[in-house]
Amino acid sequence: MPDPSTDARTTEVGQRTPEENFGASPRWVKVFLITGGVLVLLFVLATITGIAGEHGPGRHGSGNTPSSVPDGEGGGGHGSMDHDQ
Amino acid sequence: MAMGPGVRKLALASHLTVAVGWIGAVIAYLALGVAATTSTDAQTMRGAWVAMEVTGWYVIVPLAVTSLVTGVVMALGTRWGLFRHYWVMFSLALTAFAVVVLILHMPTVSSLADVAKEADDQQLASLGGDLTHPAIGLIVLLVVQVLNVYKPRGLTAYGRRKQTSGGIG
Repeated sequence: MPDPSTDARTTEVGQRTPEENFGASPRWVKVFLITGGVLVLLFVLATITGIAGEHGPGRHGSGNTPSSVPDGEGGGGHGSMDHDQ
Repeated sequence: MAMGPGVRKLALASHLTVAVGWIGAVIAYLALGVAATTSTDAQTMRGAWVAMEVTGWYVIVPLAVTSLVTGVVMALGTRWGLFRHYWVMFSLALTAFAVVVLILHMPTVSSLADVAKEADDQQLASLGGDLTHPAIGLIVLLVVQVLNVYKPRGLTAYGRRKQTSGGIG
Protein backbone atom coordinates (compact mmCIF):
# COMPACT_ATOMS: atom_id res chain seq x y z
CA MET A 1 0.00 0.00 0.00
CA PRO A 2 1.31 3.50 0.66
CA ASP A 3 4.99 4.06 0.44
CA PRO A 4 5.93 6.75 2.93
CA SER A 5 9.26 7.21 1.23
CA THR A 6 7.35 9.04 -1.46
CA ASP A 7 5.35 11.15 0.94
CA ALA A 8 6.92 14.11 -0.76
CA ARG A 9 4.45 13.50 -3.54
CA THR A 10 1.76 14.77 -1.26
CA THR A 11 3.46 18.11 -1.60
CA GLU A 12 3.21 17.73 -5.34
CA VAL A 13 -0.51 17.27 -4.92
CA GLY A 14 -0.72 20.75 -3.48
CA GLN A 15 1.17 22.10 -6.48
CA ARG A 16 -1.15 20.62 -9.06
CA THR A 17 -3.63 22.76 -10.87
CA PRO A 18 -7.06 23.26 -9.30
CA GLU A 19 -8.57 21.28 -12.17
CA GLU A 20 -6.39 18.32 -11.26
CA ASN A 21 -7.14 18.55 -7.59
CA PHE A 22 -10.79 19.47 -7.58
CA GLY A 23 -12.06 18.30 -10.93
CA ALA A 24 -13.79 15.06 -11.77
CA SER A 25 -12.18 11.68 -11.22
CA PRO A 26 -9.06 11.09 -13.31
CA ARG A 27 -9.43 9.10 -16.51
CA TRP A 28 -7.55 6.11 -15.13
CA VAL A 29 -10.11 5.82 -12.32
CA LYS A 30 -12.96 5.66 -14.85
CA VAL A 31 -11.09 3.11 -16.97
CA PHE A 32 -10.34 1.08 -13.85
CA LEU A 33 -13.96 1.09 -12.69
CA ILE A 34 -15.38 0.31 -16.15
CA THR A 35 -12.92 -2.55 -16.65
CA GLY A 36 -13.72 -3.95 -13.21
CA GLY A 37 -17.44 -3.63 -13.83
CA VAL A 38 -17.20 -5.42 -17.17
CA LEU A 39 -15.17 -8.25 -15.63
CA VAL A 40 -17.65 -8.67 -12.78
CA LEU A 41 -20.54 -8.62 -15.28
CA LEU A 42 -18.84 -11.27 -17.43
CA PHE A 43 -18.23 -13.44 -14.36
CA VAL A 44 -21.86 -13.14 -13.26
CA LEU A 45 -23.14 -13.91 -16.77
CA ALA A 46 -20.79 -16.89 -17.11
CA THR A 47 -21.94 -18.19 -13.74
CA ILE A 48 -25.64 -17.72 -14.47
CA THR A 49 -25.48 -19.26 -17.94
CA GLY A 50 -23.22 -22.08 -16.81
CA ILE A 51 -20.60 -21.32 -19.46
CA ALA A 52 -17.90 -21.22 -16.81
CA GLY A 53 -18.91 -24.65 -15.55
CA GLU A 54 -19.47 -25.56 -11.96
CA HIS A 55 -17.77 -23.38 -9.38
CA GLY A 56 -16.16 -25.18 -6.46
CA PRO A 57 -14.62 -28.60 -6.00
CA GLY A 58 -17.32 -30.21 -8.11
CA ARG A 59 -15.41 -29.07 -11.17
CA HIS A 60 -12.54 -31.28 -10.09
CA GLY A 61 -12.79 -34.94 -10.85
CA SER A 62 -15.30 -36.80 -12.93
CA GLY A 63 -17.43 -38.11 -10.14
CA ASN A 64 -15.30 -41.13 -9.38
CA THR A 65 -13.45 -39.57 -6.51
CA PRO A 66 -13.81 -41.02 -3.04
CA SER A 67 -17.11 -40.26 -1.42
CA SER A 68 -15.61 -39.36 1.93
CA VAL A 69 -14.88 -35.80 1.00
CA PRO A 70 -14.88 -33.60 4.08
CA ASP A 71 -16.95 -30.49 3.96
CA GLY A 72 -15.04 -27.33 3.35
CA GLU A 73 -16.14 -24.31 1.40
CA GLY A 74 -19.70 -23.46 2.30
CA GLY A 75 -21.99 -24.07 -0.64
CA GLY A 76 -19.05 -25.08 -2.72
CA GLY A 77 -20.77 -28.21 -3.83
CA HIS A 78 -18.56 -30.88 -2.35
CA GLY A 79 -21.44 -33.28 -2.55
CA SER A 80 -21.34 -32.93 -6.28
CA MET A 81 -18.15 -34.93 -6.25
CA ASP A 82 -20.11 -37.91 -5.08
CA HIS A 83 -22.52 -38.02 -7.95
CA ASP A 84 -22.49 -40.88 -10.41
CA GLN A 85 -22.22 -40.14 -14.01
CA MET B 1 -1.78 9.31 13.79
CA ALA B 2 1.42 9.80 11.81
CA MET B 3 4.21 7.36 12.53
CA GLY B 4 7.71 8.46 13.33
CA PRO B 5 10.44 7.84 10.72
CA GLY B 6 11.81 4.76 12.47
CA VAL B 7 8.44 3.10 12.96
CA ARG B 8 7.42 4.06 9.43
CA LYS B 9 10.46 2.39 7.91
CA LEU B 10 9.87 -0.72 9.99
CA ALA B 11 6.23 -0.81 8.94
CA LEU B 12 7.20 -0.28 5.30
CA ALA B 13 9.82 -3.03 5.42
CA SER B 14 7.27 -5.39 6.98
CA HIS B 15 4.62 -4.53 4.44
CA LEU B 16 6.94 -4.91 1.46
CA THR B 17 8.22 -8.23 2.77
CA VAL B 18 4.80 -9.81 3.23
CA ALA B 19 3.27 -8.28 0.09
CA VAL B 20 6.07 -9.42 -2.22
CA GLY B 21 6.25 -12.72 -0.35
CA TRP B 22 2.52 -13.22 -1.03
CA ILE B 23 3.11 -12.81 -4.77
CA GLY B 24 6.03 -15.24 -4.68
CA ALA B 25 4.02 -17.79 -2.71
CA VAL B 26 1.15 -17.60 -5.20
CA ILE B 27 3.59 -18.22 -8.06
CA ALA B 28 4.91 -21.29 -6.21
CA TYR B 29 1.33 -22.44 -5.62
CA LEU B 30 0.59 -21.96 -9.30
CA ALA B 31 3.57 -24.14 -10.19
CA LEU B 32 2.18 -26.87 -7.93
CA GLY B 33 -1.21 -26.47 -9.61
CA VAL B 34 0.39 -26.90 -13.02
CA ALA B 35 2.20 -30.02 -11.76
CA ALA B 36 -1.08 -31.46 -10.42
CA THR B 37 -2.78 -30.72 -13.73
CA THR B 38 -0.18 -31.86 -16.21
CA SER B 39 1.70 -34.63 -14.48
CA THR B 40 0.92 -38.25 -15.24
CA ASP B 41 2.77 -39.49 -12.20
CA ALA B 42 0.45 -40.30 -9.28
CA GLN B 43 3.01 -39.48 -6.64
CA THR B 44 3.67 -36.09 -8.18
CA MET B 45 -0.05 -35.29 -8.37
CA ARG B 46 -0.64 -36.44 -4.81
CA GLY B 47 2.38 -34.54 -3.53
CA ALA B 48 1.35 -31.41 -5.40
CA TRP B 49 -2.11 -31.35 -3.80
CA VAL B 50 -0.68 -31.92 -0.32
CA ALA B 51 1.89 -29.18 -0.92
CA MET B 52 -0.81 -26.83 -2.21
CA GLU B 53 -2.79 -27.30 0.99
CA VAL B 54 0.24 -26.72 3.23
CA THR B 55 1.48 -23.77 1.20
CA GLY B 56 -1.98 -22.24 1.13
CA TRP B 57 -2.78 -22.47 4.81
CA TYR B 58 0.67 -21.92 6.29
CA VAL B 59 2.26 -19.49 3.84
CA ILE B 60 -0.25 -17.75 1.59
CA VAL B 61 -3.05 -17.10 4.10
CA PRO B 62 -0.73 -15.65 6.79
CA LEU B 63 1.07 -13.51 4.21
CA ALA B 64 -2.23 -12.30 2.75
CA VAL B 65 -3.77 -11.35 6.09
CA THR B 66 -0.54 -9.71 7.28
CA SER B 67 -0.26 -7.83 4.00
CA LEU B 68 -3.77 -6.45 4.40
CA VAL B 69 -3.15 -5.45 8.02
CA THR B 70 0.24 -3.83 7.38
CA GLY B 71 -1.20 -2.04 4.35
CA VAL B 72 -3.97 -0.52 6.45
CA VAL B 73 -1.43 0.44 9.12
CA MET B 74 0.76 2.09 6.49
CA ALA B 75 -2.17 4.04 5.08
CA LEU B 76 -3.43 5.22 8.43
CA GLY B 77 0.05 5.91 9.78
CA THR B 78 1.12 8.11 6.88
CA ARG B 79 -0.36 11.14 5.21
CA TRP B 80 -1.65 9.04 2.33
CA GLY B 81 -4.67 8.04 4.39
CA LEU B 82 -7.01 5.19 3.59
CA PHE B 83 -9.73 6.97 1.60
CA ARG B 84 -8.00 10.10 0.30
CA HIS B 85 -6.41 8.76 -2.87
CA TYR B 86 -8.06 6.52 -5.42
CA TRP B 87 -5.01 4.31 -5.78
CA VAL B 88 -4.95 3.57 -2.05
CA MET B 89 -8.69 2.82 -2.03
CA PHE B 90 -8.47 0.49 -5.02
CA SER B 91 -5.42 -1.16 -3.57
CA LEU B 92 -7.26 -1.78 -0.30
CA ALA B 93 -10.40 -3.05 -2.03
CA LEU B 94 -8.51 -5.47 -4.30
CA THR B 95 -6.36 -6.74 -1.44
CA ALA B 96 -9.40 -7.30 0.78
CA PHE B 97 -11.19 -9.04 -2.10
CA ALA B 98 -8.20 -11.33 -2.66
CA VAL B 99 -7.97 -12.18 1.05
CA VAL B 100 -11.69 -13.02 1.28
CA VAL B 101 -11.66 -15.22 -1.84
CA LEU B 102 -8.50 -16.93 -0.62
CA ILE B 103 -9.97 -17.75 2.78
CA LEU B 104 -13.21 -18.98 1.19
CA HIS B 105 -11.28 -21.10 -1.31
CA MET B 106 -8.80 -22.79 1.01
CA PRO B 107 -11.28 -25.25 2.59
CA THR B 108 -11.93 -26.55 -0.92
CA VAL B 109 -8.20 -27.07 -1.41
CA SER B 110 -8.07 -28.98 1.88
CA SER B 111 -10.98 -31.17 0.76
CA LEU B 112 -9.31 -31.95 -2.55
CA ALA B 113 -5.97 -32.59 -0.86
CA ASP B 114 -7.74 -35.12 1.38
CA VAL B 115 -9.25 -36.74 -1.69
CA ALA B 116 -5.84 -36.85 -3.38
CA LYS B 117 -4.30 -38.62 -0.39
CA GLU B 118 -6.70 -41.56 -0.76
CA ALA B 119 -7.39 -41.53 -4.47
CA ASP B 120 -6.11 -44.17 -6.87
CA ASP B 121 -4.30 -43.25 -10.07
CA GLN B 122 -7.45 -42.86 -12.16
CA GLN B 123 -9.16 -40.70 -9.56
CA LEU B 124 -6.05 -38.57 -9.22
CA ALA B 125 -5.95 -37.99 -12.95
CA SER B 126 -9.55 -36.80 -12.92
CA LEU B 127 -8.89 -34.47 -10.00
CA GLY B 128 -6.97 -32.00 -12.15
CA GLY B 129 -5.31 -29.03 -10.55
CA ASP B 130 -6.10 -25.65 -9.10
CA LEU B 131 -5.16 -23.02 -11.65
CA THR B 132 -8.04 -20.55 -12.01
CA HIS B 133 -8.03 -19.10 -8.51
CA PRO B 134 -4.25 -18.64 -8.18
CA ALA B 135 -3.98 -17.28 -11.73
CA ILE B 136 -6.68 -14.66 -11.19
CA GLY B 137 -5.29 -13.96 -7.72
CA LEU B 138 -1.84 -13.37 -9.16
CA ILE B 139 -3.25 -10.90 -11.70
CA VAL B 140 -5.06 -9.03 -8.92
CA LEU B 141 -1.88 -8.88 -6.83
CA LEU B 142 0.14 -7.59 -9.77
CA VAL B 143 -2.45 -4.88 -10.39
CA VAL B 144 -2.15 -3.86 -6.74
CA GLN B 145 1.62 -3.91 -7.08
CA VAL B 146 1.50 -1.59 -10.10
CA LEU B 147 -0.90 0.77 -8.31
CA ASN B 148 1.40 0.92 -5.30
CA VAL B 149 4.50 1.61 -7.36
CA TYR B 150 3.04 4.17 -9.77
CA LYS B 151 0.65 5.81 -7.30
CA PRO B 152 -1.49 7.40 -10.02
CA ARG B 153 -2.82 10.79 -9.07
CA GLY B 154 -6.40 11.44 -8.11
CA LEU B 155 -8.03 12.58 -4.89
CA THR B 156 -11.35 11.18 -3.75
CA ALA B 157 -14.14 13.52 -2.69
CA TYR B 158 -13.11 12.86 0.90
CA GLY B 159 -9.50 13.59 0.04
CA ARG B 160 -10.50 16.87 -1.63
CA ARG B 161 -12.49 17.91 1.43
CA LYS B 162 -9.52 17.10 3.64
CA GLN B 163 -7.26 19.07 1.37
CA THR B 164 -9.42 22.17 1.46
CA SER B 165 -9.66 21.95 5.22
CA GLY B 166 -5.89 21.69 5.39
CA GLY B 167 -6.00 18.19 6.72
CA ILE B 168 -4.01 16.61 3.97
CA GLY B 169 -0.31 16.59 3.56
